[in-house]
Amino acid sequence: MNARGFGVCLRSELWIAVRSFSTYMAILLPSAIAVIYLIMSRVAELTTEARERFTNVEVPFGGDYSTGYGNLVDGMLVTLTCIVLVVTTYTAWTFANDCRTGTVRLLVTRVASRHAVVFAKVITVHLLTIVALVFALAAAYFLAGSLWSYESVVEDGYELISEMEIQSEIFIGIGLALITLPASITLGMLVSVCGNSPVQSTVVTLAILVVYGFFQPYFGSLAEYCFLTFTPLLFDASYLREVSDIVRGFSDVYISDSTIRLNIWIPIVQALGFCVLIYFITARRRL
Amino acid sequence: MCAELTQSLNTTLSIDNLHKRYGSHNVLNGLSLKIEPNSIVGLVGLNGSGKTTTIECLLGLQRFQEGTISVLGASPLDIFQLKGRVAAVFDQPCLYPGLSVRQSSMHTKFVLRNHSSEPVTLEDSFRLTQYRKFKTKRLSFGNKRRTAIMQALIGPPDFVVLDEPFIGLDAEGVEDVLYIIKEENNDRGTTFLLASHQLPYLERICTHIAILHEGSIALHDKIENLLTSNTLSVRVRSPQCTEIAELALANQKIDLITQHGDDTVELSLRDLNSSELNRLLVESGISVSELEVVRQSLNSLFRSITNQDIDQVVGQPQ
Repeated sequence: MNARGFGVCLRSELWIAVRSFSTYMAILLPSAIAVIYLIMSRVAELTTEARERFTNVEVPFGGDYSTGYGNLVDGMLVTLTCIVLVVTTYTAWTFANDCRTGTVRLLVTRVASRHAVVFAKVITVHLLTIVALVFALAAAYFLAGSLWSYESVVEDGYELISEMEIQSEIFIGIGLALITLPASITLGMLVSVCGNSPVQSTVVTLAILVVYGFFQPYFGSLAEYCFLTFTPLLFDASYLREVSDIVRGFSDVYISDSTIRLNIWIPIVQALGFCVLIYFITARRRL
Repeated sequence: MCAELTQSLNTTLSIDNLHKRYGSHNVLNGLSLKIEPNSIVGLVGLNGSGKTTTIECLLGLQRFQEGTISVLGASPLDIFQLKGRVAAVFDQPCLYPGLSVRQSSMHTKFVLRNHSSEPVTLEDSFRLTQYRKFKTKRLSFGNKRRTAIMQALIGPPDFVVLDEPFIGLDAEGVEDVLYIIKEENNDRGTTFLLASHQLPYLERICTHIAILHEGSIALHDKIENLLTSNTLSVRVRSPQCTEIAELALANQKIDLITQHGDDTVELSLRDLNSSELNRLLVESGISVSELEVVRQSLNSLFRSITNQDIDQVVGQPQ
């Protein structure tokens, strides 16, 4: 692989990124959505409690089970879903857009190989994703902590699940969700290098992310061999969805070791596969 | 091997037997072109003749089926290794829409690790100082083109490829671009390849002209050689155009180029001047109302080549 100029491209991408409004949108949008989601959850909960007090009718699964951890996980789930959608479509848009505006030609003719340009973009999106994640998870953590209290789940004086177990499951859930992000990003880049326009690439990527959810049940056990199964999406089957029930004491179905193995290795293998395809397509396509 | 290396070092661009097909359509059909350092070469051709395809092939932006290209000794896919010695401006200005004019040049400086004060000087030269804080997406097409050309000259590069550099520019903009190209060529020895339809501008600035026709270079020579060939064009007004055409057929020194209406013909004279033609016509009993020498221009040369066989137009095609 001719990666000469990779460092220059990476610096160039970051130089552009810090001066680009769309970058700030991509970074701050997931945090904003997490904040809005948690505030709306709290408002809905307070409304329900008020209605309960007013009518003396107990609403099932009301405030008793509404712990800080449960809402934190819900907030993170929304955040991660948003990050996956935003980051993947942003990746799909970015290279195709550079091809449309012709700016990719400036780098390719003057300082870097076409592979260096593409993979510098992949790395830049990863870095932006990390920043977006830090912002979003921090916002969700502090806001959930201030609106609810972080505590273990206790029912009739019996501790169903301790704080240590809750935290452990949250870490596993988030870790397993995050490990799919490189595969999502490289999928976005693959669509981008294949696409003829930024609109086409973005629409195709969004369609893949959304439509997969509809068809996943029909794939049966084969779905375990697609990284999207483990990715937080609108039709979510990731373990983080289960964690949301576990930390509330609604579920005691923990993830199996075999699923963890698949969740770890399938996205990594598929991300590498996408990188190989990106490499070959980039070498051949007209810029 | 050694001779080839020496030759590649003395040649800015060398294209040999380039073939490019889009599906079954042959766009470039054995195109060969050599550009010497310190020259300004105008690449002209009809729409769809393959000018942009040639440029994209030589810059490594698209692949070709056959042939070899060497740009400053590097293959097209490796020209980035020349670290900014090659620059290009395409028919659409390639600019980051979210950056201002100043930021665009700063970005180019940043990636080229250039620490000079060039952008400010170039902004002045291109009359972009008042727009330096404007985002490029807000600029008019002409100013976008100025910005793109300005960006290309940062480095400075040794070889600049400009595809349709005059499109969208006002008269002042064209003059600025022509002046800067000439200045860069004189001061720094920068070599330029200009692909354009604006033949009068090319005629003013280029040292060489290459005419691309039917997938290959039909003619490539110094501009003074092309415009001062041993042929002369004259336009004759006469009521006896048929007789003039018959005379042209009989005389090897005269070729009929075109006939305009019933009373005007355009002739190409080889080793014959206009007064000798006048005498010949009078001696042949042909009355002449008007005889005008048509100055050989790039435009007339180009039209002749793209309309008919080269041999009829210039004596010694290269």
